[in-house]
Amino acid sequence: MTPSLEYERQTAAETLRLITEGVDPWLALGQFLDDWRGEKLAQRPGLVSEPLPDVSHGYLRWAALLAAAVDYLCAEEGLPAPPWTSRPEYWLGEPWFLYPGWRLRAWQLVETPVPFRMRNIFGGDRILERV
Amino acid sequence: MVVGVWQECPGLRVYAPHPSYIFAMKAVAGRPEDLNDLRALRDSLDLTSAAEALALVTRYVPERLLTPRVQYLIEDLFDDTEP
Repeated sequence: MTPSLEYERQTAAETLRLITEGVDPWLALGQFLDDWRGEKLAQRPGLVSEPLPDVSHGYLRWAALLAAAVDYLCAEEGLPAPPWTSRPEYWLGEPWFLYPGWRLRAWQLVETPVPFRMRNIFGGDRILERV
Repeated sequence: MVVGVWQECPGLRVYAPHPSYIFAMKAVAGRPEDLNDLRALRDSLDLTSAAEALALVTRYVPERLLTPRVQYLIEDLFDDTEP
């Protein structure tokens, strides 16, 4: 059988699976972002339709970050966010500041986009920047 | 020197930017994903203070382009104080 040479774009669910398998979370998220932005608008919902897999507590932060990212990216394109992004476990009990130092705390509180803030994730306005 | 030859073999020369240049570019980009790289580069370049790191960044980036965000990011790299 000839293997398919067609490039398969990385879905949000696959992104979390990669993270739980030990891939650097920022690398996995970056790959997803590149694939999202490289995909035609009509095809993008297919990258986020599958709910994220259930993960252990240690990976819940990354699941929440992915849910926020999908919420943000869909809103950016005028697409409805998939229902799984509203799962209550993606609202973190404790705030997560992506920059741990105190000097950038106020900036993170003010500049973080709403889909992240509402899930108690703070990281300023560059969380989804690639270059 | 911004770029140097990293590896050379017959028919192939691989260039790589100097770590100090990567540090400056990552400090200016300042995305959350750059933090671990910045910490690793700080250690590899033996940077011991924010002033030293800022001086390094201004070798490549005009001072007028350095925002307070970049400055705070660099200062936090050398400060373990909990908020």
